[in-house]
Amino acid sequence: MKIDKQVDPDDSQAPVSPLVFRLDSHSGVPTYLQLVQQVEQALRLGYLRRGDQLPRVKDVVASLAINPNTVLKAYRELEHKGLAAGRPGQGTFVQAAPRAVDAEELAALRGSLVSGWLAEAAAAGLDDEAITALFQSALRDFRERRDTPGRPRGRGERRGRREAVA
Amino acid sequence: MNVIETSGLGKRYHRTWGLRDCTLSIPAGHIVALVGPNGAGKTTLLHCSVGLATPTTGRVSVLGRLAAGSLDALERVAFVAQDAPLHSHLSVAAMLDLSRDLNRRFDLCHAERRLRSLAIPLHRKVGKLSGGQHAQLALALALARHPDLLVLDEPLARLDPLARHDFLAHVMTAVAEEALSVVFSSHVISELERVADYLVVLSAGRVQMAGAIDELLARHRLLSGPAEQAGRIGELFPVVQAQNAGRRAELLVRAAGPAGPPSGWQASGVTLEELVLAYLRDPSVSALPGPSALPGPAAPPALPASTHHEVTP
Amino acid sequence: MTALTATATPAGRRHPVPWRSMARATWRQQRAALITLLAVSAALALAIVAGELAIRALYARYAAGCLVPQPTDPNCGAIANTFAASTNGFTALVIALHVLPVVIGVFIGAPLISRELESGTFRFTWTQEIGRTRYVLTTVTLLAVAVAAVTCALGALLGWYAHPFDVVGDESRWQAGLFDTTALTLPAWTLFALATGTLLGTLTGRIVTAMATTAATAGGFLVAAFWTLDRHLLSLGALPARASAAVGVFVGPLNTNAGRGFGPAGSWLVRGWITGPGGRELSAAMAGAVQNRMYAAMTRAGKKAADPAAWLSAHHYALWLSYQPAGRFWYFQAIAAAVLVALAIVFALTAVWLIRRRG
Repeated sequence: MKIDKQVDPDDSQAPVSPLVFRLDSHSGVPTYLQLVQQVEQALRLGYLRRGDQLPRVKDVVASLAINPNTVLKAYRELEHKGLAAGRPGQGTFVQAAPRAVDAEELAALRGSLVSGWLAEAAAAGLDDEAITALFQSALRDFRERRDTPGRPRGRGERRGRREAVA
Repeated sequence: MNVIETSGLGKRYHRTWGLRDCTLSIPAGHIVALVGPNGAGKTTLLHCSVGLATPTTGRVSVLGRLAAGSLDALERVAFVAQDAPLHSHLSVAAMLDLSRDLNRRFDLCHAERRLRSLAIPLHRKVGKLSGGQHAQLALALALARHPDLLVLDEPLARLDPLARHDFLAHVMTAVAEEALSVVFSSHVISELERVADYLVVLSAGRVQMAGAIDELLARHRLLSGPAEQAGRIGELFPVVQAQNAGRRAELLVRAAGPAGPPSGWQASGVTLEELVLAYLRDPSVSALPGPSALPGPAAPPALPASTHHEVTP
Repeated sequence: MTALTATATPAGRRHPVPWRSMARATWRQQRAALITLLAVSAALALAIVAGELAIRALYARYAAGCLVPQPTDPNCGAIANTFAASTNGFTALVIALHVLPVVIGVFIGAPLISRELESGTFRFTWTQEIGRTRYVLTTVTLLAVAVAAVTCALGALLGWYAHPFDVVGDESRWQAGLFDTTALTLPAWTLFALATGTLLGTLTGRIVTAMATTAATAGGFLVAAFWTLDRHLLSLGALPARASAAVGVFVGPLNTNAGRGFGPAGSWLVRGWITGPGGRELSAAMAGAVQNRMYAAMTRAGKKAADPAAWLSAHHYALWLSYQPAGRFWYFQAIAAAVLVALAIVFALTAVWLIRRRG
């Protein structure tokens, strides 16, 4: 059977965005947040640069089969963070990259971590896995509190907290 | 504008009531999931909305004030019934032509383009299409009418995962392009959250819960704490579901506002699936949208019927 | 979201019936049945024409020399016998045309609604823009026009073929076989069967049940008409007339065409009776007794002297018959057709009403 797939004539002139979204339905992270995080990660790694167009809502929705409002919500969040800007009739474009941290600051942070918190945790008797778990859950809480004040946490995060308490 | 508005809608088939006391105001611009177990009345509600069934009691109107099933409503509402019935002896092209002849507003080019991009051959008989192709054809025919409201009755029930994905992608693309409202029924809850932003839960012919998903999730908490204090929690919040595991109790409660949990208790959010399952397990519990419908702290879990209220558009 | 168009025009004018689109839609859905109908009708038409051509020369001779009271052609009797012998093909065609309305009712009428109900496609068709009422009404109307046109043509053709037989006296247009298959009554029966099928299809919701009940109902009604109903119709308002006993003494229900000098030419004879000396009609038993006496007397007198007319008048008996004059034929055709079409309309509208109420 010969399959004859023709390209939609509407799409023939559209530029292809360098970013392709993926979705993890079981991570517990809301869909729109996953999209936001993927854009931020792409910016951090240099896949997306200033002026690049974010995937069109229509294309995201066609490949992921998610609610268009979710994509719009993600793009609005990115605009709110100053990372993207919408141009009416054209799409959403990357505006700025997240602030890069310089090497000296990185070294200072590393030092304070090793001699400070890590030393204390080791002295308290935590092994490597416990340290990693504690750190990840604390990081999640920190991000949560900073991004959405007052919003209750979901199941995945709850599990992390309980481990930390135990 | 409300895409579907019902008031005391009831439908009786011989002796049994398929639907009872159904009062809904579903706003436009949403993708609405209608969930409930088999026999809950989902198909009955959808059929009343598109004019295939006449209500025994109450009223139903669509797209503002249009009577369901009237010629004005038929113009702007497209429906795909369960199992997407189409004339199996006609070819795909003949089916397109037939739809064009039965509708004044029919975009034949749009439908052909969509079918071509899905590699559905125009000369094959409809009866020889695969399940996924059949469903896509029915959807293409409905969307070619450029409706304001698309109603789908269990569209994913017989489809394999790839066909399900393609079907939903097709619907979502149409929503992205045209800003149409979609109401679809499903008895599978796990895939809803990606797709729907408004939820109606039906059980045993009655509406248990209806509202925007974000709001519904924000207004419920999962509280976990010492089992002996569970009663106190029950006095503070309406409890939807209580689970005791030895010393600890987990209560799913309705609570509005950002206030933290009582001391000794931990609060976390619920997933959509947990929420729907909790309501379905106890058909006597119900929650309806609107601040005046939210019960006070001393209200028992089951809402009395008098708290139903109509949202006037 | 498109704004609600609030216009003052009534729903009827804003939603005119799209006849051309519906014609295409009906053709698309009924194509197989309609093509078969056309093929069958063409075959029947050809058979009729062939049959007519076969007897054309013969009838020309008969018409030339045998229609006057003093026939000029000595072979008139032989020609008439030849006609009588060649009625087999004719009868077969008459039977075929009797069956045709029932077949149309069963294969076009019965599945019309029931197929959609049984397969569930009504959930698609009745939610399209056109709406179920206009959809069903236009479909039924278009099909009615199509089948009526085809069967009217066939009925006219058969009438043209049957005319020689009627004149020669073998088959009469008054007889049930031909009475129900003219250019008026054949389409009327077809519409009746179509509407019966449509209604039964709507009531049963299953194709096979609808086909079976339609065959029984329409077929049954047609058979009833053939055996008794037509006769009862034709007995209404029959005119009395004196009959000549020279041909024979016929008493009781006749239900036959006039011929061989008995009864007015071209008329339909309903019944015969004998009146007594006082002019009053004799009961069947008494008439029978009179006939027995007459036959006994004629047997005694011998074959050559047998003259029933003379015997009857000698004993002050008179032979009467009631008849429908030839000129009334098309009136009765119109009545029969009107009854059938009225029933068809009632059935069809009932089906539409049921469809509107459904759900």
